[in-house]
Amino acid sequence: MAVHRLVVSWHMKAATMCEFSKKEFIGGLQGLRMNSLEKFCEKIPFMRMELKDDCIFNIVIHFREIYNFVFGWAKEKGQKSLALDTAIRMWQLLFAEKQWPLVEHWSQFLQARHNKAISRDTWSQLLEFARTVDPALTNYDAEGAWPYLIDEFVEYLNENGIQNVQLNDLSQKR
Amino acid sequence: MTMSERKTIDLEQGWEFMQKGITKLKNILEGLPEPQFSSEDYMMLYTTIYNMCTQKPPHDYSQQLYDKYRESFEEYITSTVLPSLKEKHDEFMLRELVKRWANHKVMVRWLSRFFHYLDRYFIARRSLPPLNEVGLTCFRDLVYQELNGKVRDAVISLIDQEREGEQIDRALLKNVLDIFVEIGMGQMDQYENDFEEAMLKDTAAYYSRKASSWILEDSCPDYMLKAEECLRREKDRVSHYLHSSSETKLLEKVQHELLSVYATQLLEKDNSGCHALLRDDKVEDLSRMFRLFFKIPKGLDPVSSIFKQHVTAEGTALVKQAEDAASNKKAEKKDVVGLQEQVFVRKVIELHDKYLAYVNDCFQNHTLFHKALKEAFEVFCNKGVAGSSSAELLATFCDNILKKGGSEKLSDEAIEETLEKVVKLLAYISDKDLFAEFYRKKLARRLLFDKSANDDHERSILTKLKQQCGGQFTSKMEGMVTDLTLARENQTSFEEYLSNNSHANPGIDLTVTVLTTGFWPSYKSFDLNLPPELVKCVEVFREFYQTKTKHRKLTWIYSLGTCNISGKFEPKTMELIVTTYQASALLLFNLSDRLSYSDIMTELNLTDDDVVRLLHSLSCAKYKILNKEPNTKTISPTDYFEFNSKFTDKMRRIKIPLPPVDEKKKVIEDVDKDRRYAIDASIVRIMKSRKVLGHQQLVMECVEQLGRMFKPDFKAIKKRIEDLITRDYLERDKENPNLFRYLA
Repeated sequence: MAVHRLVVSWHMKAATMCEFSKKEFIGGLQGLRMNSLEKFCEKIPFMRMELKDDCIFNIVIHFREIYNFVFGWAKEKGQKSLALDTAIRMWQLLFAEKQWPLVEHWSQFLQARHNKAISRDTWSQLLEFARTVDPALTNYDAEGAWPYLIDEFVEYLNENGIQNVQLNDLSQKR
Repeated sequence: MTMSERKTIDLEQGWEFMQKGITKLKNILEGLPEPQFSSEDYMMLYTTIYNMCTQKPPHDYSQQLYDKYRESFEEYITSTVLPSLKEKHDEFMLRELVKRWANHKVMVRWLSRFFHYLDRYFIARRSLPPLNEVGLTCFRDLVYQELNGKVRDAVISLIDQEREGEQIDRALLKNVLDIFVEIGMGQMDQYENDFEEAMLKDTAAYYSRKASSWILEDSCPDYMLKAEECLRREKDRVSHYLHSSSETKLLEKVQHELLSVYATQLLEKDNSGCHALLRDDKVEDLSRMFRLFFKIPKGLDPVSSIFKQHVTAEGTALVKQAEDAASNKKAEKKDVVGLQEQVFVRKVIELHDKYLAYVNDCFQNHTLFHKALKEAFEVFCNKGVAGSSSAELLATFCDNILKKGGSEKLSDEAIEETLEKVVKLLAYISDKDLFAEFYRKKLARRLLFDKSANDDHERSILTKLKQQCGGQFTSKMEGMVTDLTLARENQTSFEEYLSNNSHANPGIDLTVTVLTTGFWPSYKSFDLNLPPELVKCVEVFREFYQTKTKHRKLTWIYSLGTCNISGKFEPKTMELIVTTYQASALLLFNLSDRLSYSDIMTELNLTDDDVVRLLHSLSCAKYKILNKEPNTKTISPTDYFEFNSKFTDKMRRIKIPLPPVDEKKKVIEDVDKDRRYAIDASIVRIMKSRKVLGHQQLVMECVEQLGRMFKPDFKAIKKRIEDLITRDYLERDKENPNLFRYLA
């Protein structure tokens, strides 16, 4: 699934994944000021940019908004939480743009240890975690209010000695 | 004689007369032969002064006489007193000083009487220092100022001699030190600055020297004996010749040098320090240690910390011992393991008795030591032995005491006392809820299977638990005990009902115990397909119960039932005491001779676990009521069973036990579930009053609220917080993810 779709859906304020109501569709296009298919196609690469580039202030906000929007958009109607496989797919998509180096470990960890749906709180806190805690976990505070699952993840990383590997990877990149 | 007629006395003439009187006084003081003053002499001297002061100016000589009064002292001191003092040294000097001071006071007394009129009029009007003061000041300025350094050194050297065991003249020191006090004329400045300060400094130096050698040579008890003796002697010293205000300061100095300075070295002496004293039960030395260190600031901290370490180590050793015993015995017999654990709890109680006595006696009930004892017990009491938590061990221990034929044979008083102690130990256990749950399970067995030895003891321990843990803790247990009393009454009225309605009688003696659901542990209900005979019983009772109440629903728990059935075996008919499960299985063989495992399972509608358990009890255990094909020791789903008509036993009545399912796992699960609710409720309570709270504080308050029942795990609290967020009781603050808000 292409990441553009997330952005388009966000612009249209779509309630559910893979569905647009007529109202959402028209409202969204009006908001984007597009009245032809050509204009729409032109705009698509820029939508990708909205996710990718986070050095401009208002675009940072965009990413968080889109990220939080995705939770409600992707979950099954009537459910409070997001099915794990959907969540993992969404994360891989979103973090592929954001380049959070731990996303693969996170997915593995969830499948190995958790295997349950993801709550909204965990979803939104994970972005905070990815943003504020460096991948080597040097500034991670075990006493903090991180969701239980994230604490477990940190333990999992420590148990498997993963953060060191990450650190090495990062320094090699630099 | 009238004023006008009086002849004017001029100064020289008058003073000459006075001088004679003064010389006479000096002679008396010096011990020269001189008759005492007669009242005549005294009157004449006084009158002379009076006259000289009451003449009209310029013949009023008050000022001149006031000056001459002082000069008389000064002259006497410089010409006689000081020279005599200066030629003497040390103790002799001190004796001379005491004598001179006494004389001086006599001289002041007499002279101030002669000159008394000055005090009454001249001095009062001019607000000058009174005669008495002038007299004393002369001595202070001329003698005391000159000599106090020498005097002080002499006194201190005598004190040091006494410390070394020499006899000294204590009365002399007392008199000398009184001079330091009296010379202050109501102020302590002279005593404190000119004597006490140096004396304290010398004391510190003296004991510092002593301590530095004692600490190397002596064992801890010897050192403490010496220290205590030194302190006693110093106190004695104060009461004999030092001023009472010196006591605290002096003792503080000595304590500092002897105890504070060497506290660590002393308490941690290898073979005689605090550890060794505790190890060897040196009660007296420990009491002395307490007395000594009680007096120095923070002195007890290291003692109580060593005490705590010691008790923790002893307790941990007990845990290890029990652990080893359990793992050694495990291979042999299972019930012996239970006995080992019983022994363990006994030993822990003994340990507690022992060290509580230490706290009360040696350590004079001091809070610091109560705290140390508590903390030590909390450490090892929460460790558990061989896979059983201490909560479970304590509950089992109580069960053994309270049930009929338990392993402990004790008198009523001993039981009461033991229960009291168990409840005391419970205070150290953080998982009180787990104890409650195990206790309730065991209590239920005792009550329902008529295994409780004594109703009074059951109620008595509940009272004790209630006192310590609160009414909420015991309300269910109390409900259970009450339920049983009510059930007995209910049974009586059921029997009455049956005798009045003979048509309803099922033909089987039936006893039903009606219980209140909430009080008792949860059991599986309606799981068994009852045989028709028993179904009838159930219906009869239901009908009876309907007559009593309309709004209650009866739930039948067959797993707790017992049946007495007669087995018509070929050798003889026997009475079998079995559980309802076993009875139901056996009754199936009234209709068929041979049944397969799966037949039995479908007929009874039980799970594999239950079927295996009960068939094992009937065909593979001590009494083989059923013959199994093939004849092996374990039950398998392909087995067939047949009634063993040849079965017999020397008894007419036998009990066929059905081992209970191990409930440990279920109890722990139940407690876990209850804890989740308790944490939820606590978080909501806190947030409802605080509205907004940081994560750390929320967790801390939650732990504090729940600590009375159990120690909640941080992770568990976190999980509950997240769950409450999902259920919209709380939300995270948008700006600060460490902050939670209550959503009303």
